[in-house]
Parts: sequence; C-alpha cells; structure tokens
Amino acid sequence: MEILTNLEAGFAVALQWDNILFCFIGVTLGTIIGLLPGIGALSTISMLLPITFYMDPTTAIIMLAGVFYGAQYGGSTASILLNIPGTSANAVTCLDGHPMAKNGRAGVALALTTITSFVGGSFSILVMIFLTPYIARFALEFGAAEYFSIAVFGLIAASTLSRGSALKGLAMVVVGVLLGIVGMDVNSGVQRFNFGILELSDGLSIVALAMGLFGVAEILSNLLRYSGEPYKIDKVTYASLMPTRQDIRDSTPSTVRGMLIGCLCGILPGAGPTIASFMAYAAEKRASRHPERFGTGVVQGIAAPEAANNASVQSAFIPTLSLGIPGDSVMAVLLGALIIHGIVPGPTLVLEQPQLFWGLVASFWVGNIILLALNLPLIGLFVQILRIPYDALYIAMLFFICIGVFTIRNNVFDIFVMLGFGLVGTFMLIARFPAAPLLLGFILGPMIEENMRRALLLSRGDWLTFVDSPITATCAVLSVVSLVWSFWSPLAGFIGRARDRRSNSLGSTGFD
Amino acid sequence: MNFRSRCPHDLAGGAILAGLGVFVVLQSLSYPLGQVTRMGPGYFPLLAGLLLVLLGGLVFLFTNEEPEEETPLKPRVFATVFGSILAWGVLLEPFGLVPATVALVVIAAFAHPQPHLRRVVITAVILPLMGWGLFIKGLGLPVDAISW
Repeated sequence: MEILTNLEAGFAVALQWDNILFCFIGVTLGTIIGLLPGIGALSTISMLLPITFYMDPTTAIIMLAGVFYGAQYGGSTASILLNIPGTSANAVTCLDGHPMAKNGRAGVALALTTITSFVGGSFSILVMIFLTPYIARFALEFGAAEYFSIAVFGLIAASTLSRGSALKGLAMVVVGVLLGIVGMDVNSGVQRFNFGILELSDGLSIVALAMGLFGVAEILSNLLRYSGEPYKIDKVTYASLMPTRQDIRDSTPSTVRGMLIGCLCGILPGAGPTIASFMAYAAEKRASRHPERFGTGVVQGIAAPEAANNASVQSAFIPTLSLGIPGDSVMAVLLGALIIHGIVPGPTLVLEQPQLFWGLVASFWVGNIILLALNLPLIGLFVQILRIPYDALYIAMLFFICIGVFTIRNNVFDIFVMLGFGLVGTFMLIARFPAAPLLLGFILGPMIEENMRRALLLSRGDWLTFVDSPITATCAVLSVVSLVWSFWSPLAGFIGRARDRRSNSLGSTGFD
Repeated sequence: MNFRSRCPHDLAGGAILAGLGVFVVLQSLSYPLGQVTRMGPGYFPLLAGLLLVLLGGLVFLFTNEEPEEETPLKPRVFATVFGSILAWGVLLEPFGLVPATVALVVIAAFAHPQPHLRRVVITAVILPLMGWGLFIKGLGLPVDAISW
C-alpha cells in the first residue's frame, strides 16, 4: 500500500521531538486565541510568521496549521460559556450551547463539542489522505488555461458564497487582484503602480495587508463597540463532563451529517468553516422532527456545527496543497507563509516533497489528539484565560502586530501600509464590504495574470482556450451557475419592486 | 432612480470603487499594452480596471445592504489606535524599540473607555522587555533597543 508507506514516512517526520513540540505550541495557542473573542487565527498566524523564519519549513507549517484548527476547538468554549463566539465559525454554537450551559449542562456541552470536533477533524484528515495525492496526480496534466479557470472559479465562488452581497464580494476580489499587480511585472520588468516608491517595487507585503484588513480592523471595531465591562462568565458547574447515553444517541447522526457538510465546504473554494457551521445547523434543523426545540439547548444543535467547522478547516488543506489555490482567507495567509519559506504549493509539492505533505498530514493526527487531551481535562484552566483584562490584551496585540509586520522585511514602510489598510478595513467592516475576497484576490491575482498570458500565448490569442477542455469548460459552467444563482433573487426582487412602484405611482406620493 | 431610501454606505463604496477603477484604467494606459498573444504590462491591469469600474457602478446602482448593527464612530478610539501604530513606526528607527513600544502602550491605553493606570504601567514595562528579549536578542532583529 502506497498510502501506508507514505503515512509511515509522515509519522516519522511528525513524531520528531521538535515537530511534536511546535505542534503542541501551535494547537495550544490556537485553543487560547480561539477562546478569546476578538483574536482570530488569521492575525495569530500572521504574528507568528516572523518567528518561523528560523525554523525548518515543515516544522513552521505544522505549527501555523495547528493554530488554525486548534482555534476551532477553543472557539466553541467561549460560545457555550459566554454566549460570545470565539471565532465567527462558532457563532451558531451559541444558539444551543449557551442554553445548555444555563441549564447546568455546560460540562456536557464542552465535552460533546470537543468530541464531535475530533470526529469531524479526523474524518477530513482521512479524506485528505486518500483524495489529495489523487488530485495532485490529476493536476500534473493541467496547463495554464486550466489553472486560470480554476483560480477564477475559486474567486467567483468565494465572493458569491460569502454572506452578504455577491456584487460587493466580486468588487473586492478585483480590488485584491489589482493590489497584487503592484510592483515589478515578471514578464517585462516594468514597474507597475509603484508611484516612484522604492519600497513598492517588490509588491505589497501580504502580512501588512492581512494584518491591516483583519488584525487592526478587528481590534478597532471591538474597541468601538466595547463599553469597558469585563466578560461575565455565568456560574457553570463541571460536575459532569460525561454525556449521557441519550446525548450520544441523539448527537451521533448530527455529527455524521455535520462532518460530511463540513468536509465538502472545506474542499469547495470560498466556503470556509463559518459557512460550513451555518449550513450544518440549518440542515440539522430541517432534518429534525422537533425543529422548535432548537435554541433551547439540544445536543444536535452543537454537535453538527462543531463537527462541520472542524471538518472544513482540515479539508481546506486539500485544494491549497494540491492545487495551490486557497479556499478562504486563513488558507491564503498560510499559502503566503509557504511561499515566504520558498515552497510553492501545487501538485509537485505533494508528489515530490512527500516529507512536507505527509509530515503535515501526520501532524494533524498528533495535533487533534493533543487537542482532545488538552480540552477535556484542562477545560477549567483554559477558561481562566477569559479573565485576562481586555486593555492589556489589545495593547499587546497592537505591539505584536507592529513588530510582526516589521520583521517580515525589516521595513518601517510596511507599518504605514498596514496602517492604511487598517483604516480601509475598518470602513469596509462598517459598510459591510467583505475583506476575505480581497485577500484571496491578492494571493491569486498574480497567478491568474501569469496563466492568462501564457494560455493566450499558447492558443495564439484564441480566448476559446478557456472553455475548450473538460476542466476549463466545467469551471466556466460552474462560474456562470454560481453568478446566476447569486444574482437571480436580488435581480428578481429589484424587477418586482420596480413593477410595484410603477403600478403604485398613480396613487402614492412617497417611496418605501 | 431613487437614492433617498438607499444605504449611504453602498452609494459611497460603489462610487469610490468605480473611481478607483477609472484611476487604474488611466494608469494602465501609460504602460505598453501589447497584443493578446503577447500581452504587455498594461493589458491585464486595464482589463481588471474596467471590470472594477463596472462592478463599482453596479454596487452604486443596485446594492442596498443595511449595516448589521450601528457601530459608534468614537473619534478617540480611531485617533489612539492609529496614533499608537504611527508612533511606533515613526519612533522605531531613530529612537529604538523600547521608546517606540512605550509610546505605543501609552497612546493605545487611551483607546479604553477607562484607562487603568496600574495595568498600563505593567504593560509598558513587560512589552518592551519581551520585544528586546524575544526579537532583538532571540531572533536578531536589526534594530537598537534604545538609541539617540
């Protein structure tokens, strides 16, 4: 069995002492920042990035990935105990998790979310083991036109699937692509959009961009809404962590459905853990014979979304590693981290650098087992972290953001770039212009331009090259379908309103 | 077209995006365009810029998303958060990491509704120490701790 030998080699890497240690550090940090509302995996990974410069790339990526999936474990704890989601992917867990805590079943809820998280994550790791090498081998045949089509479809899916207006998402993708153009054109050596600023000739730093749009904007919007009161942790008893047999029986089918939905969402471009958990909760409510009980503290309502978001963060590595196309913004930053370490993700990574790919896969098991051990008995200890005063926390974060951005290129200019994007990001947050599509556009933009130029060169200028192979045609059809699907209902609503207005205009004077 | 019932955020956002698109289009015309088979550096930005004009225009005309919740725009929070980052960036190279970080802590502390003196002082001692120990000594960051 090829897979078994590969896995064996992977575990040989993951079980080296330094890799276990940094995996442990990664998932522990992930749990902590997942617990703390207002710090996301994205800012933490960006802050840690400069520290990883001195590590072996495999060790570095094991730690950074650990932060991402560890945050999903911690996030549900804040949802259950505080009724505040630790990360946006845990928002639905509040709906039934917090009522469970109020009913005196916080311990059961915490134990159950940890177990379903583990099950969901494990399932996706299995899918990853079997699917990724297959996709990578398939992708070796891809040419420039295929890569162009897949990346464009990924961006369209990312902006149409995100909550809120698809038009705004698409516009932000284009802004991101344009920001990715800044700097030297690799084909001609011409400097583009650098306005004579020397520091821009290498392009914008992805860390400065991500930290401004997500880190600074997150801190700022939290402070704008912050009233000065510390978090109130309701009195909870951990008397019983053990779910009853009935709980297990009730939650098992939900866990299975949740992990299937989550795994699919992770593989699809654009649908990250947040969408996965919302979809899983909605599906659960629809499947239930007692939908009216949801929101009162039913186990199905926490099992499904937690299995889904953990399944989705693990399966999100499949397209990122095998095609080099990230599905959500955290993956985009992880991809940026790999590139900074001199590793180009794509099919050759999986097939020709097996120690990195299989070492990472094996470390996911190690990390998930550490998380299981960490979250079940030590949950009381982690909850104490919520007592850290918020003023010390946001000041420390501002400092780590600044020093993190500076360290990437030892350049003060990047601090001012981050400051600018922090301002932009805050207004985007207020006006509900999504930042994630922008970051994805920034990462994928150069790849899209490069492959578009090459594909049109090979086809002698024939644009049909983007629809005439099975892969490109499929991507084109899927792109059109997702565009039509997302614009149909707003368009129908708009036409409907216009018609109403015309028929009403005789009698009424004002508009609605 | 009735603009009064429309969300001002989307009107402004769409207009800014379309304006940005126009700027990108004009700028990319200053680079060689090339042909489809051999694109010059201006070709792709021109296409992307035109797309942004179109999308920004569509957002301006059609999008109407209510903000999820009213975010109070506290000028003090904006001024202190941005001021602290600005101060860090400006002070770092001429004065060193420790003074820059102390300035960041003191300015950022006033973003809190009720700054707590003791906690601010503790933070202003611990963070520069961490920066010096972890980043300058540990990772060899090429800046001075203190210089004048």
